[in-house]
Amino acid sequence: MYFLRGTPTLATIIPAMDHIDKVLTTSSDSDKYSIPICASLTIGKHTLSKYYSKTGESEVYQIAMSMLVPFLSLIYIFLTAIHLVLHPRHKLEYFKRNGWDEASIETARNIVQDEFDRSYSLLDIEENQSTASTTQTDCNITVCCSFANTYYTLTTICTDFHLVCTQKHV
Amino acid sequence: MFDSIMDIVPMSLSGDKLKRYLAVDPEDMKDGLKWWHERRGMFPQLSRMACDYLSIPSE
Repeated sequence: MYFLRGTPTLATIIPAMDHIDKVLTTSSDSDKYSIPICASLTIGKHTLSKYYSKTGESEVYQIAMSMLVPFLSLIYIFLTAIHLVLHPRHKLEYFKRNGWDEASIETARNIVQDEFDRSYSLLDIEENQSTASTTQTDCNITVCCSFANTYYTLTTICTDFHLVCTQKHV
Repeated sequence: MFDSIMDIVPMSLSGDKLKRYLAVDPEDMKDGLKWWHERRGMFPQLSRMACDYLSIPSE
C-alpha cells in the first residue's frame, strides 16, 4: 500500500519496511501457518544465505562493503532520525511505539538538534531579510540551495559521528 | 566576559524551537512538506530544515 503512493519518502518507507520485517519474523515462528508455508519460508531463508555466501567469495567486494556499510548505515541512521523526527506525523512517537529506549530516543533528538544548530540556526538574519517578499518559487530555490549545502555537511557530520562511535567502543 | 555568554543564547533559543515543536503531539496527516510550509512563519529555520529533509525521496 505504501509503495502505491505517488512519491515514497523515507518517512513512509521505513515504517513499512519495519512492518514487513515484523510480520515475516512472527509468522515464520508461529504455528498459525501450515507446514508448506513454513517450508517455503525456510527455502526463502536458504536462498538468501546462498546469496550471502556468494558475496563472501569476492574479497574485493567484502573489503569494499566492510568500509562502505558502516558509513552508509550512519548516513541512513542520520537521515532516518531527522526524517522521522521532523515529520509531524511521527516526531518522537515512532521511536517510542517501536520500543526504543530513552537513551536512543535522546540520541535521535540530539542528531536533529545538532544538525539544526550547525546548519540552520544561523539562517536567522537571511530569513528575516527575505521573509517580507518570499513567494513559493523563492522558497523552492532557497530550499534547493540549502539542500545542496546539507549534502555537503552531511558527509562531514557522518565522519564526526563515526569517530565518536569508534572512540566509544575502544 | 558576558559577551561570550550572550553568544550562547541563540543556541539555547534554537533548542527551544525544536522543543516547542516536539511538545505538541503528532498529527495524523500525510503531507509533511505542506504542513511545514504553512508553519514557516512560526518556525522559520526549523521549517527550512524540515523541507530539506522531508523532500528527500527514498529511492
